[in-house]
Amino acid sequence: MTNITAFFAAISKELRLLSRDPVGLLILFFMPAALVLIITLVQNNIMAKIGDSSSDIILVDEDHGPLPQAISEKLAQSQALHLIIRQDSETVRQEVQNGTYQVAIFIKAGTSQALHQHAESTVSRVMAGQNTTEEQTAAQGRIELIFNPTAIGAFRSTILTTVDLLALSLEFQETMKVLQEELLSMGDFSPISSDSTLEELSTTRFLKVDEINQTQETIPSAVQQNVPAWTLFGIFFIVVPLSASLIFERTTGTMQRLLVMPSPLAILLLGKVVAYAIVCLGQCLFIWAIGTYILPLFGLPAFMPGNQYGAIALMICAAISAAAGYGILLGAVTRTYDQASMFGAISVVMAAAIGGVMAPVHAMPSAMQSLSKISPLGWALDGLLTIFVRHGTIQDIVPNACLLMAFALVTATIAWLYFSKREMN
Amino acid sequence: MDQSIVVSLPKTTTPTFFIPLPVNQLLTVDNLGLHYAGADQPALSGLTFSLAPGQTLGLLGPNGAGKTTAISLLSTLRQPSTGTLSLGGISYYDNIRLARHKIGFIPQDIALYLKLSGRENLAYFASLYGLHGSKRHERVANCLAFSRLEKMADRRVSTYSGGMKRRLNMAVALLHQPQLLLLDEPTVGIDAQSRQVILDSLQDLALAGTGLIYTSHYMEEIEQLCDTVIILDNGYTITNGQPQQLINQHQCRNLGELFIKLTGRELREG
Repeated sequence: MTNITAFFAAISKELRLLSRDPVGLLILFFMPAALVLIITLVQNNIMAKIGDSSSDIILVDEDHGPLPQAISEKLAQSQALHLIIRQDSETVRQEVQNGTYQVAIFIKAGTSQALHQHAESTVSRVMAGQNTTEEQTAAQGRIELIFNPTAIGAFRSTILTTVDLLALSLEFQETMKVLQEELLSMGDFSPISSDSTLEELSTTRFLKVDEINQTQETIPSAVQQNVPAWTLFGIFFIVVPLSASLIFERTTGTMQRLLVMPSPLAILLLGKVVAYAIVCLGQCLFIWAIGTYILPLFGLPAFMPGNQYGAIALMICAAISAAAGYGILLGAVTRTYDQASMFGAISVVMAAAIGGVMAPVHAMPSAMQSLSKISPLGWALDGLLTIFVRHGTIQDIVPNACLLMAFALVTATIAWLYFSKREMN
Repeated sequence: MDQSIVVSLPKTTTPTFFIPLPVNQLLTVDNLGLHYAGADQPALSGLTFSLAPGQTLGLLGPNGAGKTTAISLLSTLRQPSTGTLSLGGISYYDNIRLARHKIGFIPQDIALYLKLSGRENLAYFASLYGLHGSKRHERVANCLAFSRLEKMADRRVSTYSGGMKRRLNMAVALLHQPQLLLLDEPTVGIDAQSRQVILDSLQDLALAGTGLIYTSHYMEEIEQLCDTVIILDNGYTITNGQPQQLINQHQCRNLGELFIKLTGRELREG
């Protein structure tokens, strides 16, 4: 009974203390909210910048003909793209879906041959003065592109346009080549007299470049990525007030008083963490409400949290636990409020940057992409994007949640050991 | 002793809410010591004494003598390297939680939440002793009255004067009606009036049967309050006994003179 009373008293006390720090609360609630608003608006307008950095692009060549070879030669000349040629289409689909790669181009077996046949057919019909339009619509070759659901719109349109122009150029080259062969075989070197013939040759499209959406869902917006990203940033920012609260207790003698009371310190710390978790939940609801109701007022799409409530709850709880563990660790190892606030804020901003909160991971240099794998904010963001963008279920985010829980456990244990050693000596 | 700084205030009546507890020997300390890892000398060595209910013991010593170490051992904040501690005949470490229920500790620092009101501070700490509902409400009200803070009870502690904070700091340690009260320099940096209120309150507690162990650099406080004193230096007990008896024995005029005679005039910065 003593422990339960102490637990609820600790929660109540911590919430009271937080409510009496309006500036701190303003930072906790309005900073991530303002960032969501500003960054989403900014990203929505200048996302083309994402294309500046080099991105991996997979070419799955099932055709083995001149068409994929020509496409790979052209793409390889681009400094903005790093071409990887693969054969295993199913594995590539999974890798694109889970975010290992952002985009893959699929060229099916027989496409080169079909393109050549189409060119021959077009040329022979044109030479015979027949219309090609009906045949063109019936027999199209397809180049398929698959994007990771988190790939930003500007990146998608840049790649789609590039591949489409490439396909058009290659198709035209093929038609001209066949036409040249036909004219040579006929021994006719006179110019083509009919304007309509030239027009048909130049406008006829055989190759169609299509974006295939693996989940049959809509393309994610900047809102759908930024709202969870900045929610997590807000959650992790509680490390500053949480560590400050512990430092206050340590430096004022309050901790000494708490240590000689019958209630176990672990219960009091748990009460403190629960109080901050309540604040974090408030933050989430506030930021999501801004995403749902305020961002559309600026012409952006509304945030759609979906209906995977269990998965969302698990990810948020895991993220809060990780943030709380880190906050307690900072509160134990730092000696002053200045140390905790400086180190806490800077480390969270760094973890957010490398974790993909400020810019998508796939838009970063490859060294930074490797670093993102060690950011708890990156684990949490990946989990939330799996729910909100990739429409994953609770099973899909269990690994991310486990990583965050393990981080919480490790940081809290180190904090406890450090704290025990310091207080006892 | 300079009596001019002691201002007489109307003494409080003996509080009815401090119920004397049926114990014969309140605290027994035998050969208590603490040696920090890596240190050349023990912080405290061979401290031995016993305390009866209602008795007040003064722990004196220059900086670094071992007073705060002794208080931290007696309060269960640290575990001793040597010696035994028993409260009411039961060893501390047989049931540390029970011991903590019987001990009140007033730290040297103002160990309060400044953004909470006095009442909220008391209610929070009362909850940590397992008090709830009407019992907690009653204890909080009694402690506010005892520390004469009723009128300021709902104002934030950050608005309190130094003396009010010290009185509240003491009231927190009395919420659970401890049998033994440990005070680590509880009157540092406050005005004469608040100091006198605290000293009067402590005398009331002693009259009600609470055992007190008191550390202070103010010799006049020790003379006023304590039945017995122990003077420590460099972790060791250099003398102990009743204040007047020790003053006479060493042919000194007061406790301050005795203290300087025994511990020397060398500055202690530690």
